[in-house]
Amino acid sequence: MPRGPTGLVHYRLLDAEIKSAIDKLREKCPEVVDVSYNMREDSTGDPSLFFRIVLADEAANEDTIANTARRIRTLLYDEIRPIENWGLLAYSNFSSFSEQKLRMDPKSS
Amino acid sequence: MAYHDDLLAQAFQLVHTVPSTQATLRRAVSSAYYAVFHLLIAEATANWSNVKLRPALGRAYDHGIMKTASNRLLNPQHFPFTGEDPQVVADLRFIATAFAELQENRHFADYNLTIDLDPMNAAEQVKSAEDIFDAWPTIRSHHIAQEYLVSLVVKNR
Repeated sequence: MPRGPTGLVHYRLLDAEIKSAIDKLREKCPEVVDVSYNMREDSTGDPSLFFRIVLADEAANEDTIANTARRIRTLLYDEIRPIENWGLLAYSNFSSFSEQKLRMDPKSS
Repeated sequence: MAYHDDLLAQAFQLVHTVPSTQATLRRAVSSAYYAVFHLLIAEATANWSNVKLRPALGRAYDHGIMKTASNRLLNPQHFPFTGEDPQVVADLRFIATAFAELQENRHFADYNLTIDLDPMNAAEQVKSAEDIFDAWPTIRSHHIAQEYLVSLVVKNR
């Protein structure tokens, strides 16, 4: 029987878990304005989660962005455990609230 | 300065270019990725005693294998690192995570023009590369870090 990442098979369970993780993240990190995600293959063909995280403008500056991003990734990935629980890789990109407004990009979820 | 140091410096110059353009932001991310790529290769091939052959040995490194190895290391079921220094483990996992993220972002920066790259996203990637440069020296002497370097060139079988 073919086997694949658990996340592909149990998408609704995964989606519920991700939404719960995002809620917890936003409680711990008030600088997080919005989090959206989609699931697709990465550049090497591995099934992956892609998170798009919008930060409040005051939290999105070059001096602090690396530490902020690292902390947020750790909190989010430790909650979801994408690799060990779902067989999925995870990537996160960050933008500021102002950048998001300029972008006018539809949310993915 | 070593080549990888120059690449990181170039990444900062590009990401600080005013006004920024998609070209400067995307090349910044690309430079940041290649800075880390060449840093890890230099660190690995430094273990080869024949100095003149190190650049040739470095050609054995493949982007895809390096990314796969980095992502494998993040699975605690495969790499529990039982008994290891927790700070070393955390730093190594950070480096592996950040390298994989950088590679994926490099691919986007170089090839995907369907969506603009945000300046903050580019800045985060460049700073993340800098953090790898800062973290690596603190763990390079540990055996799990050296094992990671070997895993970057050996295809998982």
